[in-house]
Amino acid sequence: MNSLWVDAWNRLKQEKLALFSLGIILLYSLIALAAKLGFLATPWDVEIGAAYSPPSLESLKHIFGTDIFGRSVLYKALHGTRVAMSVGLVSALIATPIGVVLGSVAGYFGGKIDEAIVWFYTTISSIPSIMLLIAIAYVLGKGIYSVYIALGVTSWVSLARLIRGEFMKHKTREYVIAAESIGANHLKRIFKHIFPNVIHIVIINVSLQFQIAIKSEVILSYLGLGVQGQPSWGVMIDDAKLELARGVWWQLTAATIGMFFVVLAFNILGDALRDALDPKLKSRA
Amino acid sequence: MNQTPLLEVKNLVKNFPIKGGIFSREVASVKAVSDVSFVIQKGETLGLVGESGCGKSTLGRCILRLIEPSSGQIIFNGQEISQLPQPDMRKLRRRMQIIFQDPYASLNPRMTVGDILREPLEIHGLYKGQRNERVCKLLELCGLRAEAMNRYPHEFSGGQRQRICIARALAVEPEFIVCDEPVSALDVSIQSQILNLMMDLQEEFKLTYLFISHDLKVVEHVSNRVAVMYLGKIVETASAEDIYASPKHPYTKALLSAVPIPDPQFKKTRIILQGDVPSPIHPPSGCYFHPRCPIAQENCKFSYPPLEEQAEKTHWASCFYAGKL
Amino acid sequence: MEAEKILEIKNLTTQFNTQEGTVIAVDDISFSIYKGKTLGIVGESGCGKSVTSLSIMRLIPQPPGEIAKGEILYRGQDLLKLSMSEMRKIRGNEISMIFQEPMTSLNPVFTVGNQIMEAILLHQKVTRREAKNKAIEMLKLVGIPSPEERINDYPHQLSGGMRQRIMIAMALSCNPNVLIADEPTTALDVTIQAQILELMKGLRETLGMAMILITHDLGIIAETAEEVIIMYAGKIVEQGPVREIFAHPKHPYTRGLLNSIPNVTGAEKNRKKRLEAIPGIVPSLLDLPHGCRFQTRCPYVKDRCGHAEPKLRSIATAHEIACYEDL
Repeated sequence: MNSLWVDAWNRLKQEKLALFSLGIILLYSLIALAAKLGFLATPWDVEIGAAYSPPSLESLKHIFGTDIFGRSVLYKALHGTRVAMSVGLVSALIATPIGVVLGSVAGYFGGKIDEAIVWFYTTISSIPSIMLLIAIAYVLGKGIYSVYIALGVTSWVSLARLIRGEFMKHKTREYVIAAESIGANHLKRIFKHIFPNVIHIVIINVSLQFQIAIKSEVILSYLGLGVQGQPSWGVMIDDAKLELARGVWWQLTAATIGMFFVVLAFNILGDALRDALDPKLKSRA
Repeated sequence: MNQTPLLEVKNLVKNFPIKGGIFSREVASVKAVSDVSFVIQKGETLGLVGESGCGKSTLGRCILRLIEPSSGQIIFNGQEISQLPQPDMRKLRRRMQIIFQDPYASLNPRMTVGDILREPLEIHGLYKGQRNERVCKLLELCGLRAEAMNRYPHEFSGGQRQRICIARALAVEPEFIVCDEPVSALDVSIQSQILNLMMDLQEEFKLTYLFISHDLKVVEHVSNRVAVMYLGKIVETASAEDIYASPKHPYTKALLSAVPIPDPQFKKTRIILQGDVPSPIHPPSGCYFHPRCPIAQENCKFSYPPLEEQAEKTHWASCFYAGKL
Repeated sequence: MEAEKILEIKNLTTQFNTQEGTVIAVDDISFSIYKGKTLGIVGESGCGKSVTSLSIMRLIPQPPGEIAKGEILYRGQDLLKLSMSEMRKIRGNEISMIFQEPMTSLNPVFTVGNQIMEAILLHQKVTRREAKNKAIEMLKLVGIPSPEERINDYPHQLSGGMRQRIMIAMALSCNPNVLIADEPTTALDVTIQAQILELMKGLRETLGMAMILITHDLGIIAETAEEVIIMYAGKIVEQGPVREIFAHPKHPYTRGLLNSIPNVTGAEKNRKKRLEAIPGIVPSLLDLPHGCRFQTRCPYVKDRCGHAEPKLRSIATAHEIACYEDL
């Protein structure tokens, strides 16, 4: 059995950097899960030392010092992965179906339907996304659920555009016309035939959108609209605004390091996935 | 023979609009198929030849309503199908199939060969409970091994993929198959294998073919009758023998003389046409061929010559000076 | 009168190092090109004919390709030993090439005049005005009407046949000694193909250059070439004068090819009869059979064919085949 997925996986396996990035992402996911379930970095909200004590090698907890309440910055940063990974995941879960459905309907049917959908997402994408995020967050109130929804409903546009383009390309391909000639109706052609050939776009897009979601959460938290009641990198960076003036750099550093590696991993993985999954590389003469 | 022809096409027209301007109004149109009429008898192969842009592929797809004709009639087995609603058309697809030119593009790369061959059976509700056996039989009929069922198209060569396409067309036991340049993308040594297969299958299953190709040698070999197209119109139609032995239209003659013959000793007078094929958006006035015709006269610029029966019966050409070149 | 030998290829071997293994696309081939004559290289996909022409021009991407062995003697000088800048002086100037797809071989953002002038200015010390005049002359030579206007056209404004003429004009602008034409008419309609082949034959007479014509169409070879080599899976299986080979094909593959072409001269009424097809498919270059490469499809295969590859041997004047049989 030599399906294209198996081929793609073999290709991906050969990119050591991609496997490494996959590893990092898995690691972050495990940390997030462990933190949520209480196996790791618990409890995060107890005082372990004086307020704003600098990083010391006293114990693992102290490696990034403490924050204004004397809590372990390391523990907060680890808990921050919960927010980051869940924001990435849930916003992808919301945005992907919207983007795929609207993009495929627009690309496949064309005409007035296409014009309407394109008008819709062009309008949305013309509004600066930060403003849209802020507006939605204001309406829904602060907290992680608003972050999920706000990100979900604003990040589907790029996917819709890509899927629309792919559907427009594929609907005139001969294998789709062949499906029509054997009697397949529209629904079959869209889901059974074209869709499996564009899934790779969805995968690549999710991978790249994930890190955009993480960065967006940071911005929202920075603006005070983000997560409440649990540590998040965004809030930590927000706090750092005031702290830096006092020479307290460790909270900012911990949050930034946490973000940096996972964002980098998703970027590398996204590119590697594109190389591995791109059908053009598979054409044999 | 006075039997009802399997397929009758009457005055078929297909124009593709070209939109322009701010309001996307139609500013011009590509006249891909202009007033084409012909019949195909059951069990016959009609060869359709012409160069690129002559409309032969569009015509083939219009007959199957994969492209909607602009006007005209398509009568399949006595039934007018050009206005049939799509759900009814889908049922009819069992009886009329198509094989495409590019064996790489016409198979879904994400489906196994077995899935591809089972799909038409599922859509039309055939061979319930025996679909796998049917798929094996089809593969065998087309010269492939049964284990191909579990493999993906990209694992096969061009010729093998074309065999899969033929198997797919056969799956539903059709009566009529449009073959759109089925061997043009294949190597010469594979072409003859596939042509043999198609002829064998035609004999075994009493199939009727519309064989579209730009390759005159191939068309001559497989067809009973041949129609020559130029810029959307049929300019000559006759039995295969007559077209090649005594072509009447100057374009047909030029086309035949242009084919390189694999025989260095063969002497022939080559008719080299000047200029390029005109655009189907702005076909020339009068006879479409007159700008390139070696024997064009004044009147050729003003009126389009009607299709007229020639001295040999069943041989039609649309030229005022047919046979004079 | 012996024609002057202008290009001699000796034991050329070109291979590609891929993930799945080393693919030897051209395996130890030798042939010569003579001034004023046309050599046809015939074969089906994967036989190595295009790789041969790219090797002569040293246009093989390295990596993954490499010219592992052999000599390419142009007027006695081995092209494989030249530096890249010396090779660039030869390309377009002394040895030119035209390709199958004129649309993708021409740069869409430059006018055709510009592209021909570029070829001229690269190799000759002339002013832009002189180059422009030469370009117009070339367009006239290749039969393009109103050349002074066409020179400012972009490739997409021209038809396939016109674009191929532009390619020929570009290739001939510096009066090369050898023209390599790689499937020059495969993408063209048959009536346009006839025009282009006539043009190329005429130009060869007028300009006296040597030509290598690569194609899969035996009809084109019969009408255009004097000598022919037939390639299969990277090797030459038969070579010799065109008349001789078509009249007396001796290699089973050549016979098979000739027999599988439907006949349109009307000489034989074989209509709707089965064609004599060559069974099977070309072996993958990664998985060649031991011994003769054609054995899996050959109707005359014997035991010895599986032991060692047959070497090219002479069976008539200048007629060589790589086969153990004497058909």
